Amino acid sequence: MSTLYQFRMEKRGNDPDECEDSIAHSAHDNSHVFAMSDGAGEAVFSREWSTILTGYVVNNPPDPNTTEDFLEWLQTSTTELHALWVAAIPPFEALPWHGKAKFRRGSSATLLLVKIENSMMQACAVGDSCLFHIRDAELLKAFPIDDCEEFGTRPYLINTQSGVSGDLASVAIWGANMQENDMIILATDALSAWLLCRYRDGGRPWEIILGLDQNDATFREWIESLRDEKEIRNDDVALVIFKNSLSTKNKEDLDEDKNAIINSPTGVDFQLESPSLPIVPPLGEANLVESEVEQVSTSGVEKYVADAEQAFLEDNHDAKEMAQ
Amino acid sequence: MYEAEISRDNPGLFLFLLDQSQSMDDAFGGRKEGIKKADGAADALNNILYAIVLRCSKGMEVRSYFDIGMIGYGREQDWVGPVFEGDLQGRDLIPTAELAEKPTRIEQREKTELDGAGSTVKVPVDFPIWISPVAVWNTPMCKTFEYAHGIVEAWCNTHPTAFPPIVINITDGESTDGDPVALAERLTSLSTQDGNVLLFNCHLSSHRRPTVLFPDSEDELPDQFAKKLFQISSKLPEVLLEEASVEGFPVTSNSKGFAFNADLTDLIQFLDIGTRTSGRARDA
Repeated sequence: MSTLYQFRMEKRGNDPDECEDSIAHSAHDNSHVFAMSDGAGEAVFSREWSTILTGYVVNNPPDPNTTEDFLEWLQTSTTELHALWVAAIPPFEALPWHGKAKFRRGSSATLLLVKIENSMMQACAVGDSCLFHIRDAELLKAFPIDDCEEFGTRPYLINTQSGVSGDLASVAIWGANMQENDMIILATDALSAWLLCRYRDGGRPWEIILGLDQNDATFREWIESLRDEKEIRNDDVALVIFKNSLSTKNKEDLDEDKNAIINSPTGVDFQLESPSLPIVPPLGEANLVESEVEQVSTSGVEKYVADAEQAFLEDNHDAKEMAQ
Repeated sequence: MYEAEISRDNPGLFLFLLDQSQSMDDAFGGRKEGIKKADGAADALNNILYAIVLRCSKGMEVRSYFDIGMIGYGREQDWVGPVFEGDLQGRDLIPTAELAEKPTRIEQREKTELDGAGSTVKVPVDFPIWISPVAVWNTPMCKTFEYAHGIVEAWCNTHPTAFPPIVINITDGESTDGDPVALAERLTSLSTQDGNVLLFNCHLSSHRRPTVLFPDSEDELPDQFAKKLFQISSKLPEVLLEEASVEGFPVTSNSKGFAFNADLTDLIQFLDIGTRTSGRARDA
């Protein structure tokens, strides 16, 4: 049974409804689509924009084979997405002078899209919201950023008026196989940066995340403690934890495909990531992080998908309505 | 130091000190015709307030990430006081949310933007006016620094964890009420837990001499008054040095928030760099 947990938390000092990070998810049979977006704080109506982006892509997921495909999909979707954003915000004439001035600049947000279908996973990204792929308690891949030093610079964003820059570097796609009990963590930049910096320093920070009881009170308390210690930037946080379980049929498929090239539906290949190659050199000696991990239970991961998904879908009801 | 987060709970302070003395009625650069310094300074300040408010705007609302003060000096003999008009008249500090709601008036201006085809088009935009040009009487700079000291001291007491106040003084002449050095040093001795008050000085041009922006020594400065303004100007903190560097200014770690013989373009750039902390203010 797959398990799913999602969590959003506003920046300290803000109201919960001011959180501009969004999450959406859809599930059909053996497929899941996740989307995460971080609305740019300096832009206007960013919460609406990130909600629209995530709702739109889980209902209309692209199927790119290359970064060029994904870039083209984003560029061709800009008009429709812009119209959805305009429909979701107050009419231009009702905006005060500063709102009108900033409306012309549009809103901006990151986008991380993850599709899991049977034993295949594909991820597409613009910006610094990240995916972490974990197998047997080891981090196999961080995508699209794998170095904590890369945070802090201006991330690539999708703008309501202009879409994405035409630069191929602004988009990234990646694919891998997804085995039973593999886990993925999706996180917006503040938590992703914390995770990668702790990893760089020899820690196993995903074990802390996976070891927490999956309820919002626990995660809020944990994030607040990271802020108190200045380990994490005071920013909105979005988090998704998904544990993959496969049906019997899927397991058979996986056995046949094991260590093979995953063929995309349209015939262009994704090279499997080798599970034996971590993204950075092997970790050093046990440190404080690991000793902390030993003290926390990992049993909290077990939360069944049906209830979680229902809550998840309800949370994103508005996004879906806007996207339809 | 100079790292405090700027938010609604922990706002920053920009205090502008504006010389409104008689000589501000002259044109920039000692010319007989052209934009008058008083007009240019008022326009530049309206522009910078516009930019600060936009950075705090979330569409329908403006968040009060900053308190803003606009203190004039010289409009009457030895006069110093707040120069916001209309509903804001008589008040030293205004939160950005209220500033956005209460400009003196809103003008229609044309702004050049790119259209979808890559060409430029002119679009009408609302442009709020808070400051009107004034140029009469003398330059009581000492009294002004004293007045600023009162405002900033009270503000620091009520905002102990804030990003330190940034005071930007715009003048075109020498102080007429004494040597301001000691009073300026007293002002910059005030602090929050995040560092001392920052004082930046912009000298507007009256001579055809090269502009000096963000200098790290007084070697290029021609007279004692310019050297005094350099001496009382604060070093740019790291966060603003980075912004100045990104904009192409050849700053060093000793560069100060000082401009000598600035024309209108220099003044706008100076105000822009000096208030770049507003880019750090965000609640999301």
